[in-house]
Amino acid sequence: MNYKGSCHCGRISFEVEGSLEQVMECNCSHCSRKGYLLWFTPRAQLKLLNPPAELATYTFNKHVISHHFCPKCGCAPLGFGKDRSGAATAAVNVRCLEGVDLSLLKRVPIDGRSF
Amino acid sequence: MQDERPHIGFCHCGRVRFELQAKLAYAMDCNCSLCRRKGALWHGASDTTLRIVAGEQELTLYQFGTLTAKHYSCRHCGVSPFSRPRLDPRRWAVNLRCIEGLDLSSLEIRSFDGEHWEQSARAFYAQAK
Repeated sequence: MNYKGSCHCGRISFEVEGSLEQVMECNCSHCSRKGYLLWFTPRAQLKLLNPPAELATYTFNKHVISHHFCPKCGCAPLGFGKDRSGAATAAVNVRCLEGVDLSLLKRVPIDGRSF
Repeated sequence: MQDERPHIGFCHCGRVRFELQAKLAYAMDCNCSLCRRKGALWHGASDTTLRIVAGEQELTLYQFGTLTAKHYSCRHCGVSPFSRPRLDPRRWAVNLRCIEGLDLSSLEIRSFDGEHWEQSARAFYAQAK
């Protein structure tokens, strides 16, 4: 299935192909503040429709994940990083996807606060 | 409850810091096009009960639609600690996700149907009278 996603003002927009079955809800200091509901998918499944220069980027701790947000409206629709095998991965904040009923999603709690 | 110590809040990078004087038992979860994306859990505050301690100059302002509300986020980490809400732009809505040491699961979540704002606002104002 193809999903469309965007920040609020539309400066960041993307499409992602895949089967959204569950999301991760992590309680770490960063995920919790952004209310992230994350869907991890191979980077190649996500097509960014705006120039990458439009993305503001925040990194912290080991600085291995690029947490992107919109510098205009402040929404944080996605992040890019690598999985344990080194494969490029996208973390999609499904709050920013069109046509997804958040109340129906299976949420997997991650105790990132304790990592 | 001035005898209680204020809650400490900050964005993720720590540049924006605030204090909130409030008993935190509930939060408002709004499903409008912006709040849905931010996943914010809001709590009302006044200019007296919210004190921005640091980082005001690091905030980005975003407005849309009627341009009534003022939505702030940290330009470094993207976290949205507070807004001037459309329901009452003289007040603040503080994002409880930014409060240090607060167990979010302990909060009663009150839904606000911001997707149908006019209708929900009428009910909100009627109840507040």
